[in-house]
Amino acid sequence: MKIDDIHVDGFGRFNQLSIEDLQPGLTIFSGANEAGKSTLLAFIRFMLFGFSSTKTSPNRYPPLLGGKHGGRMVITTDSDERCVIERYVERGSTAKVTHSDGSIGDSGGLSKLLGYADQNIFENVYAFGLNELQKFDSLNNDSIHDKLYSVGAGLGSVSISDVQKYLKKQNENLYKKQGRKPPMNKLFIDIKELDIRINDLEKDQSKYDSLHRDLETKSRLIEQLRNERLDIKKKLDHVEDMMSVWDDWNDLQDLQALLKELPILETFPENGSNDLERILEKREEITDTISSLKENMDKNDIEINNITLNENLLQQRDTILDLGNGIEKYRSERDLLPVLKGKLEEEQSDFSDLLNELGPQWNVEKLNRFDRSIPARETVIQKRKAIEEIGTAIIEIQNELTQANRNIERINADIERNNEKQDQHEVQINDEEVEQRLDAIRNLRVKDPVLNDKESELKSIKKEEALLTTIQPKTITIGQQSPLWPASVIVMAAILCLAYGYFIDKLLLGTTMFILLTATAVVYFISIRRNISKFGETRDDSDITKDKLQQKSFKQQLETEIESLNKEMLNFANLCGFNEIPQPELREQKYDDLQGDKTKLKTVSDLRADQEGLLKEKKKLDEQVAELREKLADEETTLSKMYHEWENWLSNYDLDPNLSPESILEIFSTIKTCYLKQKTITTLESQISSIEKSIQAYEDKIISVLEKCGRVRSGISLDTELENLRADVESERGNSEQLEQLRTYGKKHLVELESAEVKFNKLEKDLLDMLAAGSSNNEEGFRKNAHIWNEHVRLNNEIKTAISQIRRVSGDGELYDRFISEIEIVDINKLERNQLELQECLEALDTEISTATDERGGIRNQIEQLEYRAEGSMLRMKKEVLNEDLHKKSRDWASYVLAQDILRRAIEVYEKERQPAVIVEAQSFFSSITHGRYKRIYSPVGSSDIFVEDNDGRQKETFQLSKGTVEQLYLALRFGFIKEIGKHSETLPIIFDDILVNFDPIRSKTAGDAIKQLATTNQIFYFTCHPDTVKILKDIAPDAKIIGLDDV
Amino acid sequence: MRKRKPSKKNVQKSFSFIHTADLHLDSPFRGISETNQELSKSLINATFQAYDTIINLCIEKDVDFLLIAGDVYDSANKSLYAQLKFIKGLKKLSNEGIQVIIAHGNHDPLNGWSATLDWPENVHILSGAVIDTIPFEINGTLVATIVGTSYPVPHIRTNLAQKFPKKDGELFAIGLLHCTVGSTAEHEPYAPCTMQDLKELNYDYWALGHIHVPSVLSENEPVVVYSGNPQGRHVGEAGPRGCYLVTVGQKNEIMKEFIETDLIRWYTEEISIEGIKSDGELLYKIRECIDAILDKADGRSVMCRCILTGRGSLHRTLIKEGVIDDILQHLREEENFDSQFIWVERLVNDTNLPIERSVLLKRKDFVGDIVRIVDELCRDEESLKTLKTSLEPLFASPKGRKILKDIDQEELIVSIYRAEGLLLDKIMGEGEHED
Repeated sequence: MKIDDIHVDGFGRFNQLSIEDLQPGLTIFSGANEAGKSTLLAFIRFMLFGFSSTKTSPNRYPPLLGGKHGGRMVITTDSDERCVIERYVERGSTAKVTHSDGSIGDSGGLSKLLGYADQNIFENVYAFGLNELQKFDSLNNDSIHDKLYSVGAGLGSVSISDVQKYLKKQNENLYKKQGRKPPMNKLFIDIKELDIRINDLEKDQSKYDSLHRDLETKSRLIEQLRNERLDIKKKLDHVEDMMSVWDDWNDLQDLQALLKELPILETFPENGSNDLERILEKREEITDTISSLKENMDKNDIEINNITLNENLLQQRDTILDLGNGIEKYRSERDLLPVLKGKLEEEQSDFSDLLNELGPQWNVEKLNRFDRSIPARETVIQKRKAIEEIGTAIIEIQNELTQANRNIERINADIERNNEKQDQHEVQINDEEVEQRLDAIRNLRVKDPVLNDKESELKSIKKEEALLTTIQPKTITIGQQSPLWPASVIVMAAILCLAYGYFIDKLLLGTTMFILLTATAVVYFISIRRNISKFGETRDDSDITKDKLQQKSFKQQLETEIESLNKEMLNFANLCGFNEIPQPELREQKYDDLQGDKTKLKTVSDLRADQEGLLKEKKKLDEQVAELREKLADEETTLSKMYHEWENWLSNYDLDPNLSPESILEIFSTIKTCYLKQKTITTLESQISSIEKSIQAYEDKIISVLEKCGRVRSGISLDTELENLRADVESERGNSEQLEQLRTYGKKHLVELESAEVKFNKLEKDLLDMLAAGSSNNEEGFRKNAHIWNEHVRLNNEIKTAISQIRRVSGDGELYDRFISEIEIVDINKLERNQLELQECLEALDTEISTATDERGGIRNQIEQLEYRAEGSMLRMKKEVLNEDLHKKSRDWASYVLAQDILRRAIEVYEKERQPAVIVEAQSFFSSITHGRYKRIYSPVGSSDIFVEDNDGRQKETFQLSKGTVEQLYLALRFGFIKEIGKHSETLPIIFDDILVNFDPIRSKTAGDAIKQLATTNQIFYFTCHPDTVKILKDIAPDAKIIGLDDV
Repeated sequence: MRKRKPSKKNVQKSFSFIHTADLHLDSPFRGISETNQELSKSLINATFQAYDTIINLCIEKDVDFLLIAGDVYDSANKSLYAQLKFIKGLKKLSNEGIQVIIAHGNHDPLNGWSATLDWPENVHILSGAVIDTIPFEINGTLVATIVGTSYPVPHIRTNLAQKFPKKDGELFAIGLLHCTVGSTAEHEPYAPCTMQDLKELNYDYWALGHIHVPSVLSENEPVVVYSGNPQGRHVGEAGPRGCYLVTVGQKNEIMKEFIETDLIRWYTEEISIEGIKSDGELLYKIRECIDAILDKADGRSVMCRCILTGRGSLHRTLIKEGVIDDILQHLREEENFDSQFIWVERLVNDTNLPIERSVLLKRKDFVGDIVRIVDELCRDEESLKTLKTSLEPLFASPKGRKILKDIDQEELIVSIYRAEGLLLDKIMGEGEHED
């Protein structure tokens, strides 16, 4: 491949650089430092491979002088195809290859064009400078060897030995045959340890089965022991049973002996002894009862005989009791009668007093005749009310009258004061004059500045006139032209007057001034217009003449105006009392005085208005007084009429005409009280009469009873007599009842006596029967037999108790018999010995059972522990994980081992097949460059060393060579590689960057020869800044093209 | 068979059962190179939880009996814990009056069980000496027979199916056996038989065990089903795992339903690095993939293997030491094992440089030499044998022989290409592949 054209669009310092028609052989690019050699080299690299991504901060040569970052190259391949390679940074630095047939290829296509050489190969083998050459110098042999492989094998900067070391290290990091630390060794150990633990756990199942068997055996043993224990316990219980009833057994035997000794008694009544005693006791009780009854009956008879009764008294008993009931009433009526009589007297006396109170002519008859009805009473009330109302009205009128008189006095005083004040504010001038003078002053104020302006203007005109006369001696008379502005000033003044008038409430005056001034302005305006038209006609003469005329006319007009104003203002001044136009200070003082007068006039006016008001009010009050007096006279007339009517009314009722309505109302009240008294007296009289009758009737009844009972009055009061009678009756009644009761008792005792005698007879019979049943005829015999019988019964009972005690432990029936037969032949000592032995035996068994039970519990615990032991799961899981890790690592290890093997084989192949050809080519170049001083280069298979052999056959290692020779050696080696690779692949352009610097002139020349030789197969660009080198190369290769980089 | 408690069912002849096998209780998950305490617990519990799910399913679905076609646990592990847990589940069924018929397999032969287990009354363990026939009655009426046998010892190479009696009459017949129907490379061919052997016996349903992938070998006459294992335990057992709920109608018609019981499901996902520029981008892509798996897993926890494939410049980053581990750690951190989790058990780097091997083969340099050497080695068996001897220091060592799985020829070739990749990664310059 060769580069034909280079077109740099923008790259570093180059902009739109084109180097065309590059030749296939050697081209020398010469230029001083900084001429752009490195930039051009970088551009070619960029075009072929783009920017390297390996460099940490690559110089990307931005286009410093503009242009698109990148460019294109035209190349011709070994197969004579012309292609264009384009590469621009803005397109992502990807290559675009345009083939001769117009097809477009990409980076892959370019890679093919470059014979799959990559940037590293290019940089190490094809395009290099002194740095790359010198780098070898400082490297050790291994590295050189690696570099050789790198260069030859296209490995770039990768070191084969580094790769070998890496693989070995990776292997050893995973596993070492004798190690413990590498992860795989560690895993082997861990797995082994886990296996031991897992094996231990796997014994759980057999242990579990074995424990279950043990558990069963132990359970059987415990069962057997328990059975044995049960037997022993039974025996012990039997012995203890016998021991427990041993006393009962002995008692039984004794009781049976005693029973035999007792006399035989066939029968005996049940509870015979007790029954006998009870019968005897009852018989005694009944005997006592009979004697007691008889005694009581005797006593009763005696008491009956002692009682005698008053029959008369008993017959009158009901009447007496009735009277007794009325005794309290009688006594109270008797006490009440004198009280009522006293009260009657009192009431009658009060009544007579009341009549007297009414008047001497009043008696019961007049009283009853008097109309005391509600209408009559109401009439009196009405009359009283009417009189009162009129009285009140009269008082009110009198009050009002007094008040009116007081007001009249006050108003008179106010009028007097007002008159005094008016006198104080007396002024000689009237309102109208004051206002006129004020207006005149205001006009003066307005006119004064106007006059001043006019006068000053006139002055200035006069000055100008004088000036014009001086400059222009030849004056041309022209018509005076008055200015138009005064007209507008007058109009303004007119408007101001109108406004002022409006503000000070003198609109009429203002309006007048406004019309006058406006008219003046109109007249002035018309006269001016006329002057202008005249002036216009003379305009044609000369400008100066025109000006003068105009000025003169203006001056005259001003003077007229000033005069008119002076006159007008003088009028105003006169009006205010000045002889001439006053100075502003005087004018303002006058204005202030006039304002003072105006205020005083206003005060006087106000006071007069007040005076009028007061006079009006006084008149009104006088009228009111007259009216009130009239009204008072009317009311008094009405009152006297009312009194007359009242007197008439009193005479109609035959009453004292001097009585007032209040007195009549009081009489009404007294008459009512009289009536009430009269009624009370009547009631009392009837009450007294009724009580007197009742007392008489009661006393008559008492006397009658006393007679019937045959009682003679002892002189005591009748009610006391009755009380005595009543007590006697009650006493007699008590005697009668007692007698009746005693008789009843007598009958009852008789009956009881009969019953007791019957019972006594029955008991006598029972006693005889009892004695007979107890096989005796007397009580003593009976009692003796009873004792024998009781003893019999007791012994039998005790025997029964003893037997039942024995049965309780032995059981009934045969069991009892067997028990008895057993107990008959043992003695207590033997039993006690037996008991002791059995107890000991039992204790031993208990201990044995307890031990076995504990052991069984232990086994159960162990089983339970095994059942809950889930540790195995975790361990197996862990083992699986470790195994998997080991498996994974073993595969990694295998890959590294295999990689080492493959690498070794590749090196062998390389050394055998590739190195010789490279060395042969390099040898030729080296010999040529060293001018035949060194003949041979070689590197033994399996060794990284490089040896050279000189003419004399002496072998030298690289470190034995001079710096220059080493550079030459490696240059030769590169040439060898280029040659060798070129045989198998695309030939690529070679770029040397001043590599001959360290060579002496002879070797430079020989190297140049070598370059020339290489140039026959490869395109070569030689970059140099040394003119000597250019010369050497040019001498060697006259066809070489020289391109001065300083010029492009 | 012992009579069941009076059936609540109206249709007298209709009945249902659950068919499961290969519970492998308490056997560890395999192929996991890294775990932690919490994950280990979850994994250990997984087989037990799947078993519990089946037990609960029996109760919930009110089935008449449960058929277990072998390999309840791995007797090689002698896990007493597993046996007792198994018994516990059976007792639960016993309380509900549900019968259990167990045929032992090669992993749990009759001699592999503890002799002193307290088996509940509802359990029928098929004997290993003969072929057992167990009648099943409902309310006193015989409705089906279950015919089966157990492995007395682990390695049974004889055709047990041929020893089964032929179906007699119209009574519904179920065959219960741990066996290999046809040939399979993945499983040891224990009790081998053919489909023809099974068909000739004229049974209605064959409840088989041994093959872990749930599969229906025949849909009718007879229905032949491998229920598969209820919980996948390694990456080779990916996908849904469960048991079969079988309902038999009045006319012996069979309705079967596969019910998933796995609590942790295995997934293998390939992720291509092509077009991926950075490890961050790769992490994002893996996360996307993980999220998609979680969606698929329907609330289950997931064990996932991600295989990175394809050619790309990212390969260079991935082969750097610790990078893959770092990504794994990143993916695993913050995983909470209390609820649904996803554990990326491995991130396999099968990526390559973005360079065509055919291009390398054409090169006349060292790289070309390496690629050619590798091809030659893989082609020549003798060379392979020689090459394998270089692995002997590890694999032929006593420890290695005992523990490590040997590398066969196929794996050796894979390893050689992997070694080539390692070399090329090291030797070829970074810029070499870029254009």
